Amino acid sequence: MRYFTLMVGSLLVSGTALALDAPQIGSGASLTADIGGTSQSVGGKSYAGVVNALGSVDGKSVVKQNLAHIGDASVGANAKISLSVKDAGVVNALGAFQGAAVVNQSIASVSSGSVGANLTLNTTIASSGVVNVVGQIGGDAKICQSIGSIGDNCKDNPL
Amino acid sequence: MAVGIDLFKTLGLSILGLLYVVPVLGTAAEAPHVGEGASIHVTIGGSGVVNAGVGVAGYADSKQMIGSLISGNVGGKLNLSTQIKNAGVVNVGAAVMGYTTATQAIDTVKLSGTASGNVTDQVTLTGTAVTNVTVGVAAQAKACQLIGTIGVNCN
Repeated sequence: MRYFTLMVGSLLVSGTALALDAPQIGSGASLTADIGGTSQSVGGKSYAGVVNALGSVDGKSVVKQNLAHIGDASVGANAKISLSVKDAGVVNALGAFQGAAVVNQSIASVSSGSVGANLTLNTTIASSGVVNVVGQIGGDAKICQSIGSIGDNCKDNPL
Repeated sequence: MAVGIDLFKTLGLSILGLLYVVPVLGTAAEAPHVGEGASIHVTIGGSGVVNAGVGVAGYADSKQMIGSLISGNVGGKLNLSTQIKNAGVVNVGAAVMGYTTATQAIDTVKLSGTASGNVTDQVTLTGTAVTNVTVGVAAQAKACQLIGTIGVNCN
């Protein structure tokens, strides 16, 4: 009986330890990313924000760009993710790669983990806002772009 | 000895507690689970542009998902709405020397995703809105465009 208890205990503790590696967030989480647009702190003028994930690689490369994104986390109810790219704001995942390349851009999305009730994802790309995944790739390529989505669209068919 | 038995009892009780904790925490990197009700709104307008474009020498697999349930499950209602308007442009393009697949999904629920409540799916394209899937390919090509679709994939 004691032996059985210890065996079960060690398995569960290990499993729990792995799960606890992921962040645990309570209810009412709010992620907001504004790229471009007007900032009060700079005189109310409009400035173009730019977010880049850039690379120039000779061998195999993996590029991940996550903005306002929930992955591998446990989040409580009423989570809200808002992302805007506007007023010439630019989000780029760019690359010049000689070998095989995986480029994964995920913005305002939930790729894994668990989220409580009433999840809200809002994405606005306007006023010449630009979101790009572009590249020049010498070998095989896998390009994944998810915007305002639930799930991982870069999981299948690895290179 | 009595202390040892008490220790095992304590451990046992703690372990029983963990049985309830583990499923709640879930396992990292699994398909996401969302509780009662999810709402996704995407607006691309005012010359907003979304591109997934590559020039590739070998095989290329391009996937663009916008306002979609790709995988996992939603416990209750799922509300999807995407507006592409006023010169908003969404492109998936590839110039590829080898075999290529290009997928564009907008406001789409794929086969691997489940929603147990009502699904509201609204796509609006107005004012010179454009969505393109374009490929220039030297060999075999597969291009899929899914807009406001449930139960379709491009495998």
